[in-house]
Amino acid sequence: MDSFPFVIISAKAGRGYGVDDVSAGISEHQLFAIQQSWAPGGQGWSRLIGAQFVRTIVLPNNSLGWIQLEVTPEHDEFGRRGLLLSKTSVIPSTLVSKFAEDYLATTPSSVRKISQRYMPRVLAQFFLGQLGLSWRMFWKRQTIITAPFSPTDDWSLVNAIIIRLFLSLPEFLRASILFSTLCLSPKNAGLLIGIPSEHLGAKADINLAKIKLE
Amino acid sequence: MSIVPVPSPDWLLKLALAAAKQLSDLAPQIKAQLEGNLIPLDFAVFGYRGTGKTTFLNFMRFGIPTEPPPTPSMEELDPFQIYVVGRRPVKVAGIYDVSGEEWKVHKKSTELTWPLWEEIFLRQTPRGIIFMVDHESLKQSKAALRYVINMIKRSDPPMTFWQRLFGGRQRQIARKNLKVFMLLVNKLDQWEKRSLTKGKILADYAEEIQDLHALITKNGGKYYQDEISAKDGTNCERAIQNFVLGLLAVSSR
Repeated sequence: MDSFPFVIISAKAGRGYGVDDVSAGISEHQLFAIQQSWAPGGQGWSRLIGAQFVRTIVLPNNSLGWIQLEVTPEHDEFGRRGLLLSKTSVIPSTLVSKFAEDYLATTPSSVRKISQRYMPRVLAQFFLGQLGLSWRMFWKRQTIITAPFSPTDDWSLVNAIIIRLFLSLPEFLRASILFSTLCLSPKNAGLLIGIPSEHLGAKADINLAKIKLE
Repeated sequence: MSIVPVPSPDWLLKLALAAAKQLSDLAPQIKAQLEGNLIPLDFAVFGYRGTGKTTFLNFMRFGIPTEPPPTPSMEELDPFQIYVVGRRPVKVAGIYDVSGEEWKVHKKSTELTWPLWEEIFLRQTPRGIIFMVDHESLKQSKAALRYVINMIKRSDPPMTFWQRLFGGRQRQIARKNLKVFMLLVNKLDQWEKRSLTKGKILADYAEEIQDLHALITKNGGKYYQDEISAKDGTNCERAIQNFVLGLLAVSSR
């Protein structure tokens, strides 16, 4: 999977966010689109240090950005913490399932097993949520998976659940479904999103399908 | 039996013209009444990285000082309300929280650009711009302010008839729409130790301020500058009130 063009963006003290590396094969338009939307929305990343997650974005030329992110323990020259490190792979939209399967395969087997246990409930909740509002288009309705974030956790369980949920959708739909396994604001985050329950409070009145993990 | 004289067509035409004129005079007044209530206000906040854009926006939204992490990219904020003295709360929508990191055109290039700001300027066509500077990173802040001035001044590329008809002249529309510019000097809380003042800091921006003033005045708008500390909230309320009242005043003209 490393054969696909990629962009690495990170923040460094004295420089801020910037592109560390761009491989050949990425157009200027794609680079700009990545710069615009690589980071999920919301504030408060400093409380999620250590979290690793993945998201997808739409890019020009019928391609998708498969973004693997990490909240690093670094801080900038102003002492601001919660800096993100990202690697965006530019892939054809048809290959997103393959990337998702590979990503799921890299998660620890114990996490995969636990995530499998949650799936019947998650799927039921997801489809009930989709049917709940007939006036909304299917792909406009977001499903939020929420769980408390603990510093010892790297959010891998929620990652695995969202990837499993994504892979259980019909294949012809997958290329058009975006997801963010971790974000702090549901805006522009895609259809399937993970939000730590500490950050969900203000959004509780929004009509979304919420799934709580014990 | 009296016969009602038939009004001459001239008289009717005059009446119709007078009514039409009244209507066109009324339209901006109605718009001004709706401004901030039904029609939300919009503006953009730009500035070099670390100058306090997100902290200031947070103060606008929540009314309390915060210390947010650096903004990685751009994000549209949820609509919020601002309480304006002597008026109803005004609705603000379509505001972007954007990073202030420069973007080099090429790896070896020395030219700094902020394409996300340009994207917001053209997409949102804001009525006001707040530009944040501080006493640090003078060179980069000056470059960023110059970039914004050029961004406003720049004209549209040559277009075909159809491009002009369907959403063309975006720069011209954005420039025309821009009526208020506020230059905010942030980090007032750190000046005492360094015996700095707003005047001393802005002396380095004299040329840019002159250009901005001319640009905004030519556009029939207003230019403001103020000193604040977004970190502890000093003068933030004053700056917000001045800016929003300026926006409302120019909109209702």
